[in-house]
This record gives sequence, structure tokens and C-alpha cells, in this order.
Amino acid sequence: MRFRPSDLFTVFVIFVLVGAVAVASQWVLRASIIILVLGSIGAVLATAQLLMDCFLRDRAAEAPARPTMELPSFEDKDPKATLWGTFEIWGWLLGMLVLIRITGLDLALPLFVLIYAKFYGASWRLAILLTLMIGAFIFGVYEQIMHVYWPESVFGDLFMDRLRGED
Amino acid sequence: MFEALFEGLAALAQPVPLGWLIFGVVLGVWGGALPGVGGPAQLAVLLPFAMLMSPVNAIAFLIGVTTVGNTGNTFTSVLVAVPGGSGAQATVLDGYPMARNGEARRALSAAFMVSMLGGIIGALILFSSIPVMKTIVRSFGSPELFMFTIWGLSMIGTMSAGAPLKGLSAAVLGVLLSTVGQDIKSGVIRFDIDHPYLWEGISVVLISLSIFAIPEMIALAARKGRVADVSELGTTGLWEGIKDAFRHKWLVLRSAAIGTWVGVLPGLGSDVADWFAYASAKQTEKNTENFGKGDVRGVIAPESSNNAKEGGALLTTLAFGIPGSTSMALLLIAFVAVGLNPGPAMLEGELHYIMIIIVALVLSQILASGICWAMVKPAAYVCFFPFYVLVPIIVALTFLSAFAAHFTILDIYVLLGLSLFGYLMKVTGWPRAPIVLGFVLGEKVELYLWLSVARYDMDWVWRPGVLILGTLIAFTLLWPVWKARKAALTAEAGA
Repeated sequence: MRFRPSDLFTVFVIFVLVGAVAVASQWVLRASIIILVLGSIGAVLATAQLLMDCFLRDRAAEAPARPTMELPSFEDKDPKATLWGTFEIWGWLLGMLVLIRITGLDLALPLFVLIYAKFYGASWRLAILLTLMIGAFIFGVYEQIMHVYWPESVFGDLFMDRLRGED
Repeated sequence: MFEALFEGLAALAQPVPLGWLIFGVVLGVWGGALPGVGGPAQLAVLLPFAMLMSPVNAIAFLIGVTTVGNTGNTFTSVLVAVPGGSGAQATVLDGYPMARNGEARRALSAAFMVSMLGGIIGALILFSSIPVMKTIVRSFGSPELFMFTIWGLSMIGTMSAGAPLKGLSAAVLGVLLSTVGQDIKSGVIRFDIDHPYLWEGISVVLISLSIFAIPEMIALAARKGRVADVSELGTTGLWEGIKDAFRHKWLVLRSAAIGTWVGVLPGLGSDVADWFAYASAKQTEKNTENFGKGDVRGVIAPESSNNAKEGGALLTTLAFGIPGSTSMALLLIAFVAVGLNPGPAMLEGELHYIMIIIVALVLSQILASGICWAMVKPAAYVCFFPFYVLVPIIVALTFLSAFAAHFTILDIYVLLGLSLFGYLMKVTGWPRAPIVLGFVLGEKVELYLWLSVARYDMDWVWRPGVLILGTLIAFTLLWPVWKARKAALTAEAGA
């Protein structure tokens, strides 16, 4: 038996499916039957997959590759750098969430574009051009045409309300 | 009928309606190309303006806006793996790998050519089926629609041949995700984790963005490269794409017929037309080992069907007054507001308006494909943009699209949570498309099953349509097994 880190995801999927079935079993049959039937089937299939991966992986590797409904992965020239890059981009995304909370979505997105592009080597001219493009899109479509009500933010609560004379 | 057709043609061949048609097409293509902007949201914004127009101008403008979104949204699906709309999800599977192989121009060119052909075929089917459609649509009740959705789900096994158990489990996960929110049959609020945000369920926009767009951008950002794996674009891509469309003419015809049929059936929606066509192509075409790796047929099938679907969707909207989707419901509202009477009465008293719609549909498809085709050359260079240009722009647009789902910050949190799930699926070798297909079909499976049981008890199982579709499902499941067995026997005989 060979348990690999990627099998943890299969275990997670089984956990989700079993959890869904357990939760659904408390509802009336009309609301739960699809979840009970399909969730149980899904849990059995995922468990079979896990067992196959643990016990028959080597045999499966020898079988000819067959098409799967999935996009091919990028060729990994430097796995260590790619792994670090993955942590980096997740850090950026989480950082953007913090920025959204502080400045609001309408300001955070252009700021993110500017900082990200500049950080990784874009010229000032290019970084500002990209920022203006996103800014113009937000202002033109979301502000002027769709009249979107932006979510609350720390910056907005502190300053914008006062500027609008609402405080 | 032909007299009404010429009457419609003459009404539309005036400078003002033509101008509105062109303006509508430009807006439709633009909305389609920008994720989250097109579709019902765009139509809702434009509706008040259209309601002030004359019926002919309103038809020209609204048909232009509504029916070409699936042409425009091919750009992002092919170039950056971001499905610009629900009709372009399956295009990602082969379009994006083609872009990475340096064949973006060929993929886009083929897509726009077959979009046009598919749209025209859909319009022709709409035209020719007006006299018989009432009978056909009435023979399709909820049991047949249930079987149709099951047929869609059964295709997942075929489409994920390399990892069938993972594919089917992912599809089940998709179905379970579709059950989140209030159950209309019982009133039970399912999987809401005590938060009102989930009462309405999860938006399909969030699912497709998080399962495809963000994980692909993460992979690109982590690698710090470009979309294209090759150093330059081929020079023959444009013509090659056009030739591909005609080389696979039967596939175009089949996919367009599937798209039109899916469009005709109320409630099935555009989300599934492209998947049905993709699955059908993978099942019926020869030498499918390159599907998912950049096979042009994987672009041709969904793109032919998602535009052809518009003709079918318009048919039920106009002939029965039954809108099959949100966009069609908005269109119906606008038509009523300008003085039209969609429904059986329109087939008799206002046939020339139906003909104007058909002609506008054909012209819209030609114009949209022309506009998009003119943009293929410059657009294809997007594949060569460095990651620090593409990643921030696409991530920002994706966040904006996600926010447009419910206009709350929770949309962004759900997007990121599901993106982590999508990314883990990608790196651990789980096929992601089945989860989207399962999500799209899940709600319909449940709805039609309960409608069938409520109306017919268990007698619905013996309806002729159900039996025919049941046979089709059995064929779908057994055909790949038979094909594999035949191939194995041939290989054995050869050895």
C-alpha cells in the first residue's frame, strides 16, 4: 500500500460526500433523496478510487493514457520555484482580500493591478496603463452604467461617509 | 410563410433598424468578451431603452445584443481559460490547450466560423420547424426532460475515460453543490451553514470562474511565464481555422442540431448545449485521443451548438411564450412592452415579426463573426503577454465578475474558497469539467424528477419518449465499452 499526499484530497472528497449525506439524512425525504442517493454513490466511487490509488497505482501507471476531461498542466521546469510561486500567488490573493476590506473593491482592484505588475518587472508606463484600464472599466461599467453599491470598507467608513456629508 | 419572410426582410433592410442591429451586435460581442458583463445583466441594463423603440427597431437591437454573446465569449475561453459565459465552458477544454500550442488564431478562427454556421443553422431550423414545432414541444414533458438531463450526466463517464471514478465523483460533487440553498419543493434550506447568503444557492458564474479561471491563473503566476508554450504564432492559423470548419462540416451540423434542440426545450438552458455537443463529438468522432489536449473538433462542437441554441430558444419563447432562460424572459418582457404578443397568436397574426426575428438572428450571427474574426490577429497575441500583465488583469476581472453574482463581498470569499478547491483538483489530477456539468444539470435533474413523480406517479417510466431516451442513455454508456473492446480485439488480431 502506498499513500501519497495527493490521496489526501480524495480523502477530503469522501469526507465532504459522507458529511453531505449525514446532514441530508435529517431532512424530509423530498428534500434529501437526490443527495442521499447520489452522495452515497459518489462516496463509494471516491472510496474505490482511493483504494485503487493506494493498492493498484503502479499497475495503473503502466496502462496507456486515455483522454480525460481536463486541461493539460504546464510543463514544470523547476518544481521548487513553481511551488514557491504557488505560495506567492496565494499570498497575493489573500493580500488582495485584506486590501479590499481596507480600501473597498473599487479601489483595491486597480491598486492590486498596479502593485502586482510593478513588483514583477512591468515598466511604470505599462503598470499605470493597466491600472487605468481596470479603473476605467470599473468606473464606466460598474459605477456609471450598473450603479453598483460597493461593499463597506474601513477606508470608506472612515473617510468617504464624511466626504459625502453622511456623518 | 415565404410572403411573411420577404415582408420581414424588407422591414429590416432599412437604415435605422440595420443601424440598431449593428449597434446591438457590437454591444453583445463586447459584453460576451468581458466576463460577467454580458448575458442577462447587460440585457437588463439595456431593456428600458429598447422599450421606447418601435417594434422593428427593438427586435433588431435586442436580437443583436442577446444572440451573439456566445460568439464574443470565445476570446477569453480560448486565450486565458476564463469562460466568458456559461455557453463557453466546454470551449476551454480544447481551446486553451490550442492557445498554449501556439494555435490561438486557428482555434478562434474556427470558433467564429462555426459560430456563424451554427447560428444560421439554428435560424433555419427555427424557420422550417414553425409548422410542426407545436406538436414536438408538447410531446416533451417533465419525464422526458428528466431523461434528457440524465443523458447529460451519463456522458461524464465517457468524457472522463482516463479517470472515470474521479469524473463521476466530481460530477456528484457538482450536483450536491447545486442543491445548496432553499429547496422549492419542501422549503428546506439546504447546506446554508446558517448564513442567508447561501439561501439563494451558489451562482454558476462563481463555479465556472473558480473551477477554471482562477486555478489556471494561479498555475500561470506560479510558473511566471506566458500562456503560449511556443515562441511564435503560426501564420496559417486564420485560414486553417476556416478550413477546419468545413472539413468537419458534419460535426458542425450535428452540434448545431443538438444546440437547437437543447434551446427548444424550456428550462434546459444554454449552460448545457455546449457540453452536450462536446460530449457527443468525443463519443462519435474517430481518433479522439487528442481531445482535451488541443483538438480543434473540441472547439468546433461547443461553438456550433451554443449559437445554434439561440434559434431553438427563440422558438419556444415566440411560439409558446415560454422563455427557456433569464435572457429569453427579459426579451419576452421587452417584446410585450413594444406591442408584440409572443405566444400561439403570434404564429398566426404576427408571423412577419417572427420572420424579422429570424432574419435579424441570421444577420447578427454573420456580423458578430465578422467583427470577432477581424479581431483574431491582434487578440491572439494575448497568449504572449507576460504573466505580470495577464494575471492581475484577469484576476481583477474575475473578482468583478464574481462580485456581480450577488453584489456582495461574500461572492469574493466563495470564489476564493472554491478556487482553492478547483486548484487542488487540478494539481491532484481530478477532472474539473464534470463538477461544472454536474452543477449545471443537478438542479434540473431534481426538479424534473419531482415534477414527473408529482404528475404521473411512477407511470412516467413507461412513456415512449422516456423509453427512447433510456435507450439512448444505455447506448451512451455502452458504446465506449464496445468501442474499447473492438479496439482491443483488433490489436490482439494484429499481434
